[in-house]
Amino acid sequence: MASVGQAARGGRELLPQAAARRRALVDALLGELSRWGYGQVETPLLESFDVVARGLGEADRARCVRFIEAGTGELVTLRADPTPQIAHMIARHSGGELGRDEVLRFCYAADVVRQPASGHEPAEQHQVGVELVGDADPWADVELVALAHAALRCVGLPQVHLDLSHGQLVAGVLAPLQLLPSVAVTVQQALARKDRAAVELALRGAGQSPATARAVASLCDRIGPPAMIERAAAELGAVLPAGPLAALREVVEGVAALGLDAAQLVVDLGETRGLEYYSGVRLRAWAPGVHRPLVRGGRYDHLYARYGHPRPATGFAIDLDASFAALLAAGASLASPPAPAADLVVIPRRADAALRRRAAELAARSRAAGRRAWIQLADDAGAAATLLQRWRLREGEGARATMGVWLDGDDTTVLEASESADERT
Amino acid sequence: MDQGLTIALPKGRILGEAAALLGRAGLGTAALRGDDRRLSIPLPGGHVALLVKPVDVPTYVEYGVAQLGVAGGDTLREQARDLYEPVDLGIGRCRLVVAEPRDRPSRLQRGMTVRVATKYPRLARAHYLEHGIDPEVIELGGSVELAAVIGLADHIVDLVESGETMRLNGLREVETVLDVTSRLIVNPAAFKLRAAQVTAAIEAIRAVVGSVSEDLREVS
Repeated sequence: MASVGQAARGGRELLPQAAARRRALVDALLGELSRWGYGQVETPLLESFDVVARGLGEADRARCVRFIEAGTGELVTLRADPTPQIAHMIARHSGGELGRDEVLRFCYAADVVRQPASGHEPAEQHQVGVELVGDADPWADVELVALAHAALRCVGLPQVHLDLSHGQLVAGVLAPLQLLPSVAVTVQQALARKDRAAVELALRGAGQSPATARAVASLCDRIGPPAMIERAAAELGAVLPAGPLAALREVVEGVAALGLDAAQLVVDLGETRGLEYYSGVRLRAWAPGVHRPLVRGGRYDHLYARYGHPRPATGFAIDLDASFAALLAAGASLASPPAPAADLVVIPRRADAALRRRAAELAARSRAAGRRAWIQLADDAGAAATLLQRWRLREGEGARATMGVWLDGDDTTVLEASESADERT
Repeated sequence: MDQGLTIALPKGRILGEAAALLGRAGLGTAALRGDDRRLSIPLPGGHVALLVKPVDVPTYVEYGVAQLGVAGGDTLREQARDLYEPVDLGIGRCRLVVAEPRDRPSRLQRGMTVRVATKYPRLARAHYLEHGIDPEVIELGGSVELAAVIGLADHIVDLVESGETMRLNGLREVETVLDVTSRLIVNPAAFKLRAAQVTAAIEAIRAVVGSVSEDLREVS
């Protein structure tokens, strides 16, 4: 006999209940995004590598699953990130179906494929995300933070921590120091590790004053509630670049004005990880018990220029697997929504064409009435009862109300689930 | 009130020093002993220590079952995980070096490849590639010196503390790949979710490490 072969590659397989749970999550998220005015778009699974590469940083480009397309000889990639695709789409339709200066609110549900950065990460990730294009006002950043919060709340995750940083803050701190490139790299790496001593050492070694070195190094610890921004501003003064600081401040104030609990906000002034992509405020959402962020996003105003249509843009993506992990960690019950109360399984005796026709009519009537109905052949009434019982057990509580009908000759018998079948399993 | 922190500590050579250091920083690890057979040990102050194999510490911390951990720079660079490393603890000092048999030095020749035995395939490969050599890397789980002694490999890339084992086995250091010390590592999610608690712990550990280096400076 042949072996079952290899394990599923790329991502996890989902059996019906898990698939139903994922779909329910996607539907709930898209529903909330739609209520905020975001229209759903679709991007191709197969994309010209050039389109995706233009919008990605070096590291993300290297993770694209690329190949040469048979026939054209062109380099193509599987969808690695919908954001560059949507930028490309908007650029191509600008002035046509889409107004040139129109503010656009798009959302998507998409599977993305990336070579895993480490062995334990799946190649396929499932995302629901948004793009808010054409609005440079800090209020747009506020909207995204509030929207990420609202979307997670509507799927049962109200207690996430929203982590705000700024893509240009550390760069703005380092630029006036005019460091040699090699020193700048050392300092960046030490900041990424949050290794204060190493930042200070590298800057002192490069001839910076003790006060400057200490001030820059202190960014490693500048992480905490929004009030931390004011303390940092007071203590660091001109070391902090005015633009990024003001942008962060406006977003924090705007979000607070919307009534979001300040205890759910974390500001990190020294963050440098994964920021290459962002030109402004960067958002992540974290939940207890999950080691990767539920939401990644922020402002990338430089992106659209790469497609010939410079426009400010901001967006985020919600990681569905991380969201499930957060729901589990929060103790949420992941039972699928109960099946409609009156499911019907019609079980005609095998090898009787007339009965099969009658079963089909019965099932069709039931479906027309909005119920779930299907047909399964069986050899006798006992087998039919077992079949119904197995179905109920496998589907759990929701299927208790599934009705079984046994067709034999001219008789139609409603099946009772036998106790013995219950015990057998 | 915050719950206590879970700290992943490496069993073996470093444990005593690491436990003493974190103990002085108020994390309750001072009384931990290497021969404790328990794997998860409640500490005074509500914290919990996990005693795990040194190479596994980053895994426990990356997945967030431990918020803090102590891991060697060798392991961290080899595994390249997504972790914060806020403090160089200055303990477990050693070096990752290239070594070869004293009586059988391998001359690097054009068109020849070099066979390298190591527990650190990624670091070893990166080191040779930097020198323009594409090595054949043989990954071993231990007793790496032996590979060079009996001719399985031309070079080894391995940790040395004093260099005594290498000398005893007729090996000679060629060059240092990496200076290694143990570092405090922190789970990124914990840093964001429990910022106040985690930064306070880091600050306390930094204070202890700072005072140790002051002491050393006075002695030397």
